[in-house]
Amino acid sequence: MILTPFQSYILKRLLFTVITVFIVVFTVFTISRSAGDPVTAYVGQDTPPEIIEVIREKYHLNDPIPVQFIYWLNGILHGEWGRAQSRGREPIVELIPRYLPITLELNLYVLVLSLPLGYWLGTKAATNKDTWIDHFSRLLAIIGQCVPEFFVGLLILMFLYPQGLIVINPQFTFQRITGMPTIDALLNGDLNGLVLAFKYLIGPLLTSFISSLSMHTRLLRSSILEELSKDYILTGRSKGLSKNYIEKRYARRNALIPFITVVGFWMGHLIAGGAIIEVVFNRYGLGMVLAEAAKATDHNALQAYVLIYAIILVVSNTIVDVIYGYLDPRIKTR
Amino acid sequence: MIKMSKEKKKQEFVDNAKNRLKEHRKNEIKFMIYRLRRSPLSLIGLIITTFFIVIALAAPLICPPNLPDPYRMPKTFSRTPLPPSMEHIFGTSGPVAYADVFYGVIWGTRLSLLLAFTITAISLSIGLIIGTISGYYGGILDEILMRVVDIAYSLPWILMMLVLLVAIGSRGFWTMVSAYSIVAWTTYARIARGETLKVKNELFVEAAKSIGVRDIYIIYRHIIPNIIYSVIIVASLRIGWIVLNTSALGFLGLGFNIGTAEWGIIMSEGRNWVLQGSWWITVFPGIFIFFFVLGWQLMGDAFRDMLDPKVRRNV
Repeated sequence: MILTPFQSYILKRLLFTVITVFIVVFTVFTISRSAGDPVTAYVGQDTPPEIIEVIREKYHLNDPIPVQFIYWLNGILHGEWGRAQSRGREPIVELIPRYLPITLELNLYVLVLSLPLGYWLGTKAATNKDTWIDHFSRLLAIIGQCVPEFFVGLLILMFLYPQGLIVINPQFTFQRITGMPTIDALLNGDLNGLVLAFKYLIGPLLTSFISSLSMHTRLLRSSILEELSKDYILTGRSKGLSKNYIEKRYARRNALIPFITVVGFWMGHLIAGGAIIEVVFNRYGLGMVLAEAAKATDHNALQAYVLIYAIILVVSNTIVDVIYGYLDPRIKTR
Repeated sequence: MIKMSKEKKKQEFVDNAKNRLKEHRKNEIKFMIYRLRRSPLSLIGLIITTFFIVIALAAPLICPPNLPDPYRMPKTFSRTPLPPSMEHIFGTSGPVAYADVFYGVIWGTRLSLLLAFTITAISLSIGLIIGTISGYYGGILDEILMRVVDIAYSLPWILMMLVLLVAIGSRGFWTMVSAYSIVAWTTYARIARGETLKVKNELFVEAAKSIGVRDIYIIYRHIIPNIIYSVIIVASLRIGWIVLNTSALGFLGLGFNIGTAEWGIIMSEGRNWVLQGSWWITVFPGIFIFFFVLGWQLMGDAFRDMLDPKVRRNV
């Protein structure tokens, strides 16, 4: 099979990310195995030492760490993810399908809302420099850069909770299908449930949306301004192209290349950084249980969550690489 | 006689050069002050950061230290948080920490500043050394180091910090410093390497090499002075960020013990009471974080305008 340059580029990038993830997961595994005694995940405080020894043998805990890693990876592939001490010793394989959709739901909404709006606002601010829309985007940038996300979240909670616009720990009555409350409510046709699901979502969504929007606007604005100061813009103007045409066809397209790169990073950071927002609103998603596991020094659960995050990272990086290839024709032909 | 005048000439030349250098430096400082005065935002940044540094230095005078550990907030027992009053200017946090918020905010300034400076100093030194060596020598060493940096760069910082903090296991100032430095040095290594690559083929480096100057001396005397500004600009922009991130971790309940005078820790206490309407526990530390980060952000921009040769003259 002969690959086109674009396909081989994607494959190369994919290979790099997979190797990265492998190294990361191995490093995390090594760190947590050498930091804490893994046997504590299986035994209580008054377990006799003979039994501990038996457990050590059984779970290969006396082997060197690389060997343990292979056993662990093998277990992961066969669905044996261990138990999470931090969440009442529940099997981790059952925890992940419960909490991951909650996190994904939030980030899906943030992505759908903040990317187009940030794109629009960033372009507008850059092409109308020093007008009110530009000042607004700069104010937004300052808020996004200088106010911690959890403070924004707490303020939102402070103002909207007494109004009854936010609920914490809701009890959903409709049937669970995808695990994402708003979508499940829609699929069930439960209108009251839908309202409840949105009240559950609105706080985290607003918080994450403000910081994401400010970041996208700031990035795109500075990136377009940089493109607009380049010589090819001047050439275009001098041969009589309209300002509008140059901004849309030349500057914006070139400005998108650095923008997309950073957005790629942002997707990974969004999902992990969501931990803070989820803690503010007591929203039980993957970030919340990650924070819980970290607080309770639950190595077993921490490793599993890191693995999940790493997989999400691979997927989002690959998507970004594909988009990158379409935006920058030099990559396709190289 | 002739020899004498030669000596004299040489001396004159050296004196001249010294004077010119002095003159140049004077002009530089004048230019910096001029730039600072011309941009009101930089001035605001300077005022804010000075304000925080003064608070940090004067913390023992503003709030008498709670001995033996001044970074533990004194306790005021009450069933619910007490609102701001004359006795407790910013109120108290109630159970579980029973802390005085004003004390926590003031000593938290000291802790945050100390934390930011220590982390910056350590990670900047490590990054600078690794970056310059990697850029200067190139080859397989460079390849390996930059792969490490790439991998670290593509990971969410919060994930790395969580894993490291859990692995270190203990809590406190040095735990936070070491975990953060392990994550943060890569930024500086990346910049130092890039700048070294630009500088290392310059004529003055070639000249130094050709007269047999040792590599270590070239790096120390010729490379580092030429790249240090770019690194310092980034470092000043990162100081606010460090405080933002460490307080976020504190808010998650990691890094410091409950009752430590750290802004994030106080706010995580406040989270338990925010639904009952006790706004003062979260709002005061939150405002402090905002102004701290804003001040350093503006300062960083000012530093860039003053020090970066690419942008400084053309505004």
